[in-house]
Amino acid sequence: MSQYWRNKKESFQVEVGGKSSNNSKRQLKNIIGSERTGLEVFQVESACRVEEEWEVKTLKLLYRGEKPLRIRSLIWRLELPVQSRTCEVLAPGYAPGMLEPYDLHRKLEAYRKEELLTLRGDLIPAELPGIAGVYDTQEKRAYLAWNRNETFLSELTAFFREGSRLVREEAIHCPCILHPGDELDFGSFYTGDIRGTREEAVRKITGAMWTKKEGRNEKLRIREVTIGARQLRSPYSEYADLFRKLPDIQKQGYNALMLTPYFPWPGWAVHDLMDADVTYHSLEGLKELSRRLHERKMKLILEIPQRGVSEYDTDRVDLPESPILNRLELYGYHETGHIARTYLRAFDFASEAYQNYLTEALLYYCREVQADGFLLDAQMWNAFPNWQPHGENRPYDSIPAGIGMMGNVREKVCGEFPDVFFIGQSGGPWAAGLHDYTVAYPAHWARWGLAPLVDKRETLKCFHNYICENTLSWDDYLEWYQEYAAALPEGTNLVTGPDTGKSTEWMMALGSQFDREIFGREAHLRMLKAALELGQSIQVYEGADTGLEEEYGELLKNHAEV
Amino acid sequence: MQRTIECKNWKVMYEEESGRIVGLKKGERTAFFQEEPLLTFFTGGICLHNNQEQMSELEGCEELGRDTRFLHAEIEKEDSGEVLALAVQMGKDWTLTNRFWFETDQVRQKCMVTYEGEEEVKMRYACWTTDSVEEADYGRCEVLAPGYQPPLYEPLKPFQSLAEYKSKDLLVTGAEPYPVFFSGLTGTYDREQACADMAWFVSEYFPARLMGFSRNRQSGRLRRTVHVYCPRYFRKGDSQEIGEFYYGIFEGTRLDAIRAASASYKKIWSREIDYPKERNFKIMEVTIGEKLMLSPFPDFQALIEKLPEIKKMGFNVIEVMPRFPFPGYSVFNWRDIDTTYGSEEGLRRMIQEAHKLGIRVILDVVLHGPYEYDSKAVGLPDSPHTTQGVPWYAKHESGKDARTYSHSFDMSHPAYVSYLIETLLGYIENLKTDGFRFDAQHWNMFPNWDRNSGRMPYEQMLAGIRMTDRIREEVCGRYPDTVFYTETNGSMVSKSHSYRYNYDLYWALWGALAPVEDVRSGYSLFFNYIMENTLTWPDYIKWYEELRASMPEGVVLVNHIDSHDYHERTRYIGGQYSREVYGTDIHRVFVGMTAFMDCGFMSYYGAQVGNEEYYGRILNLREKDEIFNKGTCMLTQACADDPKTVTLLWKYQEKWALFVGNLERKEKTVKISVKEETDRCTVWDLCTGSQAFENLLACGEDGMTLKLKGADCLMVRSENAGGMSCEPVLEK
Repeated sequence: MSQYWRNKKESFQVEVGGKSSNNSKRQLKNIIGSERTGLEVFQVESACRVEEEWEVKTLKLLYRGEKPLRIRSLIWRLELPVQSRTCEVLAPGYAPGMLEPYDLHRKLEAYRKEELLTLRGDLIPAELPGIAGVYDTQEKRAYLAWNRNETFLSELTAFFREGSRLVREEAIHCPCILHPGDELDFGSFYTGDIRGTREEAVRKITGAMWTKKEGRNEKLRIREVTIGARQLRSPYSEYADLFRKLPDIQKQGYNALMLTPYFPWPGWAVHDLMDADVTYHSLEGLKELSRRLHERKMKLILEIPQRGVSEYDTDRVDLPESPILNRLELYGYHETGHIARTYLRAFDFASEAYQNYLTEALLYYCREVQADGFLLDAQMWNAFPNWQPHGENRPYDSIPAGIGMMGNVREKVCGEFPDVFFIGQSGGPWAAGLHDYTVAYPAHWARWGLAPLVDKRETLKCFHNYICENTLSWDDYLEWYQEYAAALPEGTNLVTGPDTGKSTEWMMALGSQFDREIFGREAHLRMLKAALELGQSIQVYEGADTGLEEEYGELLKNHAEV
Repeated sequence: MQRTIECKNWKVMYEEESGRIVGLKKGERTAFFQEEPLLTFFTGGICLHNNQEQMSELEGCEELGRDTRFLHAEIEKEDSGEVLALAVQMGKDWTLTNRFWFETDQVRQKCMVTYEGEEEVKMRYACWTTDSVEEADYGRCEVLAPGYQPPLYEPLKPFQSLAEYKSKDLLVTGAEPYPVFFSGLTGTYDREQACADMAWFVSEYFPARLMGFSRNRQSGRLRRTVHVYCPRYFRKGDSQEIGEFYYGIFEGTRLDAIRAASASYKKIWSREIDYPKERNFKIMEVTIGEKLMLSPFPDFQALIEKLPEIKKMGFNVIEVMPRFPFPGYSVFNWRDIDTTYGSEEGLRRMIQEAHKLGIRVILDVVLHGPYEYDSKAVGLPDSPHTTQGVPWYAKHESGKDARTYSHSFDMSHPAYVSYLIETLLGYIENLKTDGFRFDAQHWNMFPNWDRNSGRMPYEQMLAGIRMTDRIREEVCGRYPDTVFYTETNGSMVSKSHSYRYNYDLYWALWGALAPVEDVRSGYSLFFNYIMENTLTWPDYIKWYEELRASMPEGVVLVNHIDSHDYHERTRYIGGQYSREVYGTDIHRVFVGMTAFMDCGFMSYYGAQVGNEEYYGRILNLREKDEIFNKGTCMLTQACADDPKTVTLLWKYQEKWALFVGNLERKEKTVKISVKEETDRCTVWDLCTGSQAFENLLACGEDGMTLKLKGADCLMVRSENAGGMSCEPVLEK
């Protein structure tokens, strides 16, 4: 092992106490008044070993305090000296810093800003791989650190240059009340010194950490559609409108149709998944859609909302109350004792009752509608602790449960319907391993780097500004994408595509915002072509191709033939 | 080497070589003493986005003024007295000349920057930094910043000493700029020496944003940082003066200091009005159409049917919001009333019916710009303002038309203002509308970088406020009684508006005074579990009294608990009303408290459900009882020995009346500092309208003792005030 990871300062600390300031989506992270302390109140069990090209440190904490202690997270901080003339950032899946022009191979000394990555709070390994460090181009060695943990999801909270040091900090979320004698096993922390190219280094780690998938090789070309009115753009107000369009959709080259819930209500909220008349507007319509699709040898994918249930005064708004609103065993609890909430009453995905409810709903759609596949909406939406956990669970079990439950759910659904497949929206390697297809959400940032903005309404500021606009070279993007794909389990079938139903709604623009509007027709088609070449599968939201139907047809036809 | 110049009773200290101003003292009291430059200037860089924050989201700017070279310092004689002029060189190409005018309690500073470089440069903003109170004095000094919010992530104690705050930041900073929002007055008050130091900035062109107000470890002093936005191009030989900076040291009470400091802009922005008459302004906001899936008024006919009920509840003004969901808060075409408000004929009829009941009708006018979308795809027509190429749009520095979520008008464009004036006159003449509420006049607060506009880029920033001077002049020239009501709440609004929203209180409306009961929680921008229910009534009313003292005269504050904004903030289906946030009983206390705080009153239709009679009782009392319609509200004069008991005392001649509300649902006995004999008092339960004499346990020279059974709302009256008819009266 090289001496590279002999940090000037390496430390584990814990964040304890404080209050979650609001009962909201960010209740895991918006903690006020907490303290960072050393590990003095713990008996620390730690061991080091060397495996392949990395050092593995295990860490187990046994609480020795006398009073119950509310722990929030373990902080893993690495501070290491770097050769800033020869080193560049290597962090597959993370977007580079946006306040300077994009350059994947910029040496550390040439960064204008101290922050080297754009950190958006994604949880590891559900939403991102979490491998982050530097690559020394002279020595052709990658100095990378990562932590694999499916019990306590973590988050890269800092990655910046401070003089000649690189500071990397990760928060491993483990919220719970510790009682004397309680133990937390944080598993393994890895620091690697890996020879080879950037991509080779990433592949070595992935190969050792994640099992190769016996995934599906079938390429999906998915047309995503909504019945109802969404952002004032309503191509299909009824199923009959969609039926009329099916021949054109198939002719254009799509082999699957993904149906979102009905909009505007219940939309992304759950009313009752077992009530298809409300969730998808009409059970009969849905059955007929399925029959017509299968007649055409096309697949039906249902997007299943699962964030939670709307709460409102039914007398006032003239909408029915959800029949599951008061099934308290389905929900999580905030630390104040209130039922946990985002903009909805929030499901606890770790709850056995919830998992059974979801499984029953999926089986219902398999049986009644012959659905071929499912995309579970926003599996990480409720990624926060349940402070009144159900059964034997601990508060932290609810954080990863949106992904973690997939093992059980999938086993039961596929036990009865072996051909049913699942599409995951979370882009991390753990999530990818548990789904047949993975939507490549982490790659979205790059579109705003690849082409200039032409939409007069502007666009999402979280991806775009006038400094980074159009500064990403095609070679850098390709390399970034390959490194990201290399950080996912081998066999992952990535679903790409400039437009999804979600991406069109991000801007909240009236009539939504499609990629062709953001970048113009030509740039959009180039990006679509790239997406088709990079991803195994493609997803296109209704309306994305307006005015470009022929060009889409050509590109999709090529995709089918290759 | 430091030099000192003395003028009147003030001393200005500066470094001999650099010319950097390091201190300002009045006698032995320090206005500021610092290591940081007093003013630096940010130039160049790039504006990251074409959006609402384009004035401030900048990257890569160069800071001027850290390294300076002394040029000259001299005392100039003016008619008004001596003026100190101190000039320094900033970098190679810039000079900065500061001029100071000295008065007994305050010093006024004007700064002028001049550019002699060859290449054109963009000026962005000035950073004004002052270090004042020393760490050793933190224990005896309090924050004095009328209208500003205390930090929200600790218990709300706006009058604790600087030493007692948990966070280093002592105010919520970075919020909307002054003078559009907030008073702009910030400083500290020394309890022991009964002396205040304050600093503030006055301008009608350059908005200033408080960026920091914190205990600075490095300097060991309280540091206040303000950004004054002054965007423009500089070419060789250009000079720019940027507003007026003030420093004051005032002996006396906190209120004395606020009144003395605010006099500097009151002389510019004050109007004389008959306050008791004007404050009888009770607005019901209504939306026609579909908003948050709640449709109380699908059309004007539905509203007409509710007018008697609205009148009965005591409201005397209807404010018609733009039709929802489209065009909502965007301009479609002001002159297309069918689209903008729902129906021209319906609106006209509604106004006629309202007038018959003695209700005035004002229109909410959206000002900032039209939506853009693919009209074929969404099935909506394009705004003629986008298709017919009006020349009123502001430009982003990239050369594109400036935008927020809509295409953005340049409100400094004379043709835009003329068109708007004609439109408003048309509303009055054709619809008989009584006035206007201007929506988000500050929305497009960014420069217009268009080189061909003939105006400076900065002129557009506050044009949305300034333009109402001309609009008022033109409209009131023909229709003197026209109501001008604005959503913004800084000091500058008083020049052309008779009424303004009270957004200042929003921080206190979500959980500060009472716990949040709504199972869905409250609005996270203002609410969190750390500050929840930690604000006391005495602190709140003192804070409010200071806010009032900082306001220019001539504008009536319109208090509200519920508004169309409050209702839509959390984006819940059906909206969120205060009665849901707090529960019906505590909501009643809030309504009473708000209505009796010497102000206008506003609500949003739907907020009153279940409390209609109570609203009627309160608002009719405000209007018909001479104590309230002619008297004076003594905001802080009646104190209870309980931090959660609301007390508001009104006096008119020999009569007095006291509103008492309990912000807790528990029984308690409270003692209130109002002296009167028991048999000279009457007590009324405002929730039921009946007498509640049993609540008065004692009254005498020691004050008054009341029993509160729960979240009660009581009115105690002196015998002189006579009996009280609590029942609302519907005028014929």
